[in-house]
Amino acid sequence: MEILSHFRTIEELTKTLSREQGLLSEMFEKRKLMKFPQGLALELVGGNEARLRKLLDYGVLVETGNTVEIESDYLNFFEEVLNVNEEISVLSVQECINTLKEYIGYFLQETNTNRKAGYQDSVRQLLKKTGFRTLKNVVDLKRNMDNAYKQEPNYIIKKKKLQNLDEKSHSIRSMIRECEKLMDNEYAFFLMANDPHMAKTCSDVKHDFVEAYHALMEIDRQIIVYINQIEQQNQLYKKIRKLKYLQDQLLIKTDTNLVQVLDESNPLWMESRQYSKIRLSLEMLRENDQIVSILRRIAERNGLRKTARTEAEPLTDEDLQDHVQRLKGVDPAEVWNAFSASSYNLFDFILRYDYKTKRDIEDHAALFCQLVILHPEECRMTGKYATYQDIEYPIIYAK
Amino acid sequence: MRNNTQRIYERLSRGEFLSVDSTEASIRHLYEDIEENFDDYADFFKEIGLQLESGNGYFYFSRIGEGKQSIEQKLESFSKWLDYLDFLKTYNQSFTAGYQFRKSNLIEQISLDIELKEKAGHLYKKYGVGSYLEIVNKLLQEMQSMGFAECVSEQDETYKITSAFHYAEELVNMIQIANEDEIPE
Repeated sequence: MEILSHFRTIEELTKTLSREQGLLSEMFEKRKLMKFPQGLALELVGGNEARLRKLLDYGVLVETGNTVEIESDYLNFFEEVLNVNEEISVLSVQECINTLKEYIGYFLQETNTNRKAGYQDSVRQLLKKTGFRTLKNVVDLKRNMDNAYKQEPNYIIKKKKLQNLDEKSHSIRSMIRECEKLMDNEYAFFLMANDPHMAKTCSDVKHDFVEAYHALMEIDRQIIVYINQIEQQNQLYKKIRKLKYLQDQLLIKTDTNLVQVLDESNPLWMESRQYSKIRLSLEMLRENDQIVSILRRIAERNGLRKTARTEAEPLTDEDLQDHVQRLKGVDPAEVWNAFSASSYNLFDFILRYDYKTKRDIEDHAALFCQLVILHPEECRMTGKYATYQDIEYPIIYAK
Repeated sequence: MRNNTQRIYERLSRGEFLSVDSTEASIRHLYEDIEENFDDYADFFKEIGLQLESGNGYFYFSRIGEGKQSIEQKLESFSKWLDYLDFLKTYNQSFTAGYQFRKSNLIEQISLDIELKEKAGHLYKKYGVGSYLEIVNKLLQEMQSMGFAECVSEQDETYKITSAFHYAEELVNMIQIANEDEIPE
């Protein structure tokens, strides 16, 4: 954008800036967050278009489409002055050193004492600036490095960033060396050493450099650690992919020492899950009702309802009472003993005997035959016959 | 015999790992106890045929003498984990101990990344696990049961990888590949 006018005095500049401080500070605070819409800017200058126009005309702000931003000269100025610039500019230090050399040249050649003193002041200021810039660069370097390592999600960019920071750290270091050499060897500094201001500045700057140097060493170490960690992860990643490739190609057994590695160790995690083979204590099962209810719950949860259902109901009181069922069976020996003690004939005796159950005539006949067969020797056959209902039977007594 | 023998045995005998950076205080407590009395514990477990192994921030068991598993079983276990590692490293190269991620992010990445999608599909193919949610759930469950991952927030399902994950990485590092340079990545 063409700059139509420019500030002619510091007064004009500072007054303008001071009048628009609301807008400028707002824009400066949001410089990283967003493009500043023109409408909002207009609001902040009190809706006065002429004021906004003036800033644009004087090149404090630039217009891009619908948004405005602070012109880079001013932005840099603010950042520098407020010490918030995060960029590491090795160049600015280099520039300082170059100018320093220039002024030293002028100083050495100047014959006019007044002007010579002027150059000496410039050299002092520049030296101070160099020291300050270097130190600031180192601090920024440290912050940038941490940010790059911790916040950059992309591995390749992360590595690249760290490598770039590593390079920067090297150039800062070489710059420090150059500046130190200048201070130690340059003839001009011997001449200037008489000036107490100059001497103090020199010692301050040297101190700054030492500090920066120490910090740089630490940063270097850290960067190496970070890069190595990334590299290690990268290597691992590549290796996993290679192994995966071999596995997919079914070459993993032949092309690697995997079998040997696995053969050497028996980690438990590779074993299939072991089920606990500890048996339940019978003693405990007998004595503890809780266990039974636990078992039943487990069985139900595992769908073993059947087993749970087939278990009989507990016995009722009725079940526990005596139930007597008499069988038809008679003990023939008992009947015989009773018979042999009696005077009845066998058939009559069988008819009269108290059997406790009801017996019919066929049962009597069967028992009659049974007893005769069991005790043939003890029977006294009379040879007489009698008839009972339709059965004819021999009359037999016990001997 | 020391106080925590039973608790340590119960965890490690399941093939689990104990990590120094576990979010569970009880596990950290066990870890510290082993660390302080390593020899005592190692001697004790040696009696029952188990070697207490220590690594970079983790402990685990291995069997002394003949293992119970055949070399084929070991190969199978390893190849399963190689698949997991391959999948997880494809998800994020910095997937290692200390890494934190949300389950939803992993699932989202799967549906965005065609390579990841293909790998995820292969993980549990033989079990017939279908949806990406199921796959991720199964994977996370397995990693949790090994002690490789822990759920740090139930609410947004954030998981953290414990230092036991170093074990898997170290195992990979132990393997040497013949003609490594000739193999495509």
